[in-house]
Amino acid sequence: MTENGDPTTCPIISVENLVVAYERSEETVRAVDGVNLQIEPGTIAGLIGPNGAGKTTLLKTLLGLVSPTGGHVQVDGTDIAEHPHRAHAKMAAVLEGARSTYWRLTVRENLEFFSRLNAAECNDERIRATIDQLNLTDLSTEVVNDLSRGQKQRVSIAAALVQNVDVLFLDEPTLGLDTEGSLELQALLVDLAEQRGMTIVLSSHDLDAIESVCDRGIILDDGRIVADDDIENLVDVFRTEVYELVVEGQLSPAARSEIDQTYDLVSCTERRDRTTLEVAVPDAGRIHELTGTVVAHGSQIESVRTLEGSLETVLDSFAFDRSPTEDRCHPRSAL
Amino acid sequence: MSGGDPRTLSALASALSALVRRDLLIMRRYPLNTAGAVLGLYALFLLVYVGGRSLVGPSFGETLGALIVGFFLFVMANASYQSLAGLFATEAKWGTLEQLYLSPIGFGPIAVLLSLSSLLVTFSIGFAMLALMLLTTGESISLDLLSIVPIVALTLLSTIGLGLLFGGATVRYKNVSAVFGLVKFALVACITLGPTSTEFVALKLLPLTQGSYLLQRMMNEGVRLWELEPAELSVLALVGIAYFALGYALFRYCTDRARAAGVMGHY
Repeated sequence: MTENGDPTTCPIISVENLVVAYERSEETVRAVDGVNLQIEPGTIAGLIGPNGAGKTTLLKTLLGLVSPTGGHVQVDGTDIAEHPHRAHAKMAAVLEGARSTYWRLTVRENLEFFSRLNAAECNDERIRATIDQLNLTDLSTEVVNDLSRGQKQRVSIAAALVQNVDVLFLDEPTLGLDTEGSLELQALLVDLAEQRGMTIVLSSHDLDAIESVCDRGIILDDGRIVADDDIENLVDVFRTEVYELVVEGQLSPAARSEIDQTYDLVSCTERRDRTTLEVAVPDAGRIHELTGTVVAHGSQIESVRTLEGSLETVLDSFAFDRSPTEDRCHPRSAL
Repeated sequence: MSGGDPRTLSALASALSALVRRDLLIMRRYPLNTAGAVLGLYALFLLVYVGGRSLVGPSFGETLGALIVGFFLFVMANASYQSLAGLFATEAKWGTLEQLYLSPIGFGPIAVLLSLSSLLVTFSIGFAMLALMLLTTGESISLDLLSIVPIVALTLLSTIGLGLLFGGATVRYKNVSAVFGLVKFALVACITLGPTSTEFVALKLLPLTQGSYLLQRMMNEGVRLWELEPAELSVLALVGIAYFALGYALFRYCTDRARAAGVMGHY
């Protein structure tokens, strides 16, 4: 897996040894822990991970809203700590979902405000084009407070776009949206990257949205990047090779040891009457060898199924969100 | 986007106009709140007038100008030190504080522009209410605005500095409104100490005191701006600039601390 992007393209976002540490109750918490990252122009990158993984902190540090304890962030070659004004002229953010605009102003008044505020002249043509692009034409004179959550979210993005920036950051953009609103937003983000060449970095728990929108997935846990690759690659690893075997009773230590040495034992969950194994097999054809190994050690197989390849499966392969009722008998592997 | 510094004069002017327009639009969209503030100012002016008249008697008309200017100074000073802290708390709740921080103009200049915008709006409302009060009471005052406005502006520099300090403290510590009551009393004391500052020169270093002293001389003795001693004007300017610079530096310090603690925008 590549941690950095295509070396032939000049990155628009470059992060080097980024550390963000806080003092909490006499202990130091490293919310971001040694992150290195390069994102090329026109990429839609998704930050994924469980609660507390450091997604939002990383996003806010990229924006300069959180100052790092160590390391550097550059946006289009400008160090954000040294020249925040120049860096901010190239980026915009929607951090609070629908709450990034003034709800008592109309859609157009909001766009005019953010256009004037951000060192740009109030460009009527750009405002009109942005309103049209975000399907807000009929709502432009409406007070934002009267709009639906999905519409408010579009207004927030419009307010960011009207600033004519190269990079857009979004924190949980689909949060609270219904299916239709979420799909509309996803289509818009893809359009922005493809038509405007905009670089988009978003953090989300909505794995379906990340999978359908992002070119690249960056998985964080405990402030560290644990995987960073094209979304397709992340998902493909599991689409073709991971099997779930449910075995009656307990699996013998010898069987578990052999499976772990021969294949990649992703997880092993033991309950009183059955054991569930998730095993990554390097070649799909070798599934018969795997079942043969289990049977040879005297265990009865209840079922075998291919795990559906999805980002959720990928995330599930990391040590996130363990159920307290389950006894994980093997640490899950990292990609 | 160009790689040059985006903090040009035209960008600052554009941002100030955006903030003033926004403030006026928000006032329009919260009509009850706005009506309360406007009527409150009108009632205060009337109270000052009626109270002053009952205390001074028929000759009150001669001192009305001085009283009005002093009261106006208090209202503006109050708005300038309180508004920024209140605005930052509100913007954090609205989720727009981060957007202000991300402005290429810079958060420090944005804070100063927010103060100016608030002062302009307060001044406009206050002036309109003063005119209405004079119309209502049939009184008239004669003000030498050419002399008064520069003195008031320099005087308010010190309270804008205090406003930046409280604004920064709000960004870092979230709620500092409990100290406002005390500060209000302190500001009234600073204004009333104006004439005393001729005996105790150190009092001139307090915010508002030197400005209050010079304004009272202007109103009571008819002194014009160019007739004031250069040393007195220098003290006014230097004290104002010092408070402003200190407030700005502490604002920057507080916002840096908020960023280091990861609480910028939280409320």
